[in-house]
Amino acid sequence: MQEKVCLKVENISKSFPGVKVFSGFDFDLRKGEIHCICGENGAGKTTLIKILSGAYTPDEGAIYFEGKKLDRLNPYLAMKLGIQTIYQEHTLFPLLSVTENLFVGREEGGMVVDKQKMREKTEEILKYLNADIDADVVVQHLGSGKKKIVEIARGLVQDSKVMIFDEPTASLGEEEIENLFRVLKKLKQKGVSIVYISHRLEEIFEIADRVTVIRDGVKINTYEIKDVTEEKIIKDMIGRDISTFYKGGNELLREHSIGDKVAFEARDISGNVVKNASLYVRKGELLGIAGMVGSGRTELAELLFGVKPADSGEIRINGKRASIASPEEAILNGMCFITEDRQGSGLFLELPVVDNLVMASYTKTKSVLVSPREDAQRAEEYVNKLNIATPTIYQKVAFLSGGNQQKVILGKWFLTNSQIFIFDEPTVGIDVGAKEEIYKLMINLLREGKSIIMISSDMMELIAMSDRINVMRDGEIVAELQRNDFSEENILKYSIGVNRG
Amino acid sequence: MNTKAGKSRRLSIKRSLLQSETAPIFLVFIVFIVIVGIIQPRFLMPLNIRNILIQVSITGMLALGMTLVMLSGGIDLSVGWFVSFIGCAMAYLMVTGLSIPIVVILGVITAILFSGIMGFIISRTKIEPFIISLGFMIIYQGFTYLITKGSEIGIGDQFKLLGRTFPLGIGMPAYVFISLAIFLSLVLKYMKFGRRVYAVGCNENAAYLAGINVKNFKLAIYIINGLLVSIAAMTQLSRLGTGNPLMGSGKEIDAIAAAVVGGTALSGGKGSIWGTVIGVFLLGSITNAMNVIGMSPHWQYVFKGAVIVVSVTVSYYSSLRSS
Repeated sequence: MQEKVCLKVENISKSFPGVKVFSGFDFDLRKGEIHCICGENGAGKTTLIKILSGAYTPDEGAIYFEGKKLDRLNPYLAMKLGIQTIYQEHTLFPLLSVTENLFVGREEGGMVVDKQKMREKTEEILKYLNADIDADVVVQHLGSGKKKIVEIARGLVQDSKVMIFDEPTASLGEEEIENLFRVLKKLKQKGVSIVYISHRLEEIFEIADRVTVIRDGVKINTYEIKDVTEEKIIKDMIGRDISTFYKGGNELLREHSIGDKVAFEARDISGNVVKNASLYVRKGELLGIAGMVGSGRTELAELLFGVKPADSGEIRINGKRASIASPEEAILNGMCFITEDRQGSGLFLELPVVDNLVMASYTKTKSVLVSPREDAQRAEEYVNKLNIATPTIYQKVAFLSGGNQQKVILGKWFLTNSQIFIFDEPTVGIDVGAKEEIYKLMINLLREGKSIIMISSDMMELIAMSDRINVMRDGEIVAELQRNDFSEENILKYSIGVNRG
Repeated sequence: MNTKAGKSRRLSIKRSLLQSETAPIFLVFIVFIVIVGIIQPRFLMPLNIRNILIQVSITGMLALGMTLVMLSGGIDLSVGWFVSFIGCAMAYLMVTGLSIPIVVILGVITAILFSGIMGFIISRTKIEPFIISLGFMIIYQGFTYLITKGSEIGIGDQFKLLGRTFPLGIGMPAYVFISLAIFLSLVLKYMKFGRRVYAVGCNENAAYLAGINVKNFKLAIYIINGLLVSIAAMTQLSRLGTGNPLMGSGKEIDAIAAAVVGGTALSGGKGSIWGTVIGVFLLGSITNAMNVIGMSPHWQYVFKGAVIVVSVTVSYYSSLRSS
């Protein structure tokens, strides 16, 4: 049975300066189907969405819509053609009512807006979607699931032919997910084509007609859902080329010896999305934290470091119970946190390198006065030690490269003499050469007997660098893997919950 | 060796002066002085300079506090009426017969109390300090009129020290202003607290993760600002010899303008005490220059406004070029 193709891309390539290439990609979406896209973190799912929705222009390749080749595509044209993207975060106007949200930019009536008509149409659509939502309610009062439905309703008002969902269930409860699936099936009957991005395999098997697996920006396979198994999909998702990874890590790492003493331990930590997480790390040990984006890894790190106070649980440092209700207390207890968002929470971009390096160390000194001369000396020392490429220590950090910025952040914590390092995605957005340097610095820390907790989405990084890996899913630590159990397949299985039955 | 080190040091001072963000405004200030000085040499006579010093000092004190607040990422619109409120309250208390030291202590405590309340609200919520301080400005205006019933409260000659004494021929307000400026510039450079002001203003989030208690820090900034307001209020009261309801009104705008002209960014993290001091002198001497040259004093507003617009535009383009 040859079905009608609605949206098709052929031989698409896209590259970013210094980052992975999305290359030779083919993809087609049939009318009235639900097509799932699977892939690891960083496989290129988001890039694909952005190309389909017109946010990115591909370097090469062609896009066809209903058989016609498109000369160009941008978000405005995509909307006009009827391609609607529903992102993870909501794009609704929180202070407007449901009706107003549905008709923003396409109000009914002439000079004067016909409120009555818009309201009736809204109710009609909500009824069609079986949604228990009042057309007059202000959107900010709705829960995540209902907001998603409103976004879908907006797509229907705009008569969308293609709807692209980016991890729609990430923030939804079970009931909301069921409701969403009902709506998706309705849309399908109506002839709407759906691209559905998710890393939850069970969802895919519940709703998909076809599934496409991508890895490293390349399409691996497209299957009819009835012809494929979970194992097959996972096998396609893994198997990244290990030669792209810094090989030295593995050998170097094996030379350090892990101490017996537990340096840091968290018991039954709950708060935010994290549920009863327990973990420990020894002196000289690197504990990897794996899990899909959104599994609560960063939230866990924030609880450990006191960024947000935990609801319950206890933290022990060197066996002694410690109260960590703020980053200040965490730092005084010898901890540090290298966040993923370097510019947003790691650096003072407008301040010079020297201030960035010494600022956190002030937290540990009792003295009220500081000595600019001593600060400069210490900064010089660490600029040399870490090989930070900067003309002077008075250069604004904003002008340094990503790798050098990351080294400034590391230097900041070296200067505070931290013992327990929490890294969140330590090498994201850093070029290969600088990556190696960061790994070497981390290994040196381990050799000095310091402890590292490393959150990473990079499987190779996790496997090469970790001594042990905890896998998180839905806010819980679902598995602990020892070194001989390390494999992409194992980590992925726990991350996406195949073993849950 | 010594001479070499001295030389390189001098070189680096020269370089930092030229490169620093206050350099453009400093040049504008020098050009302004030279031009006005050529048109009317009387502008540069000691007597006139003394006048300027007294005229700018009270706004200057407020501008110093405003600089701290702005460096930490905030703003305070209430300081003008705060001066009126504290000044008039002190005048009222003096008239009731309380001794000067007690009135001074009460004035300072009141200022700290109110700025503490405002700082508490600003630091504990995410509400714009612009809005909160606007509210306090109006509250202070109300207090001022409640105390004075709309008319002046004369205090006679009992409180002359801060405003009407002239050690070495220079008015006391100038000594107060300049000492505060020196003190605060040292705080910003040599105290942990001062270094942290820039960090908090530059990136609150990163500051928090570096172990700074951002909430209490901001509270402290507003309290220090309140303290400076109380000093400005006392000086103004002493200078005028009367509690005039309008003794401070509008000065918040002059203070913000001086800080901005001096290179302090409204977004926080950027600026310096000495930049503000130059801004205070530049804006403050425009009025005087008009008088000395003999132009209509109404022109002063046009020139002041133009200086503000030009200086921030220039600093915008120079920051673009350096990046």
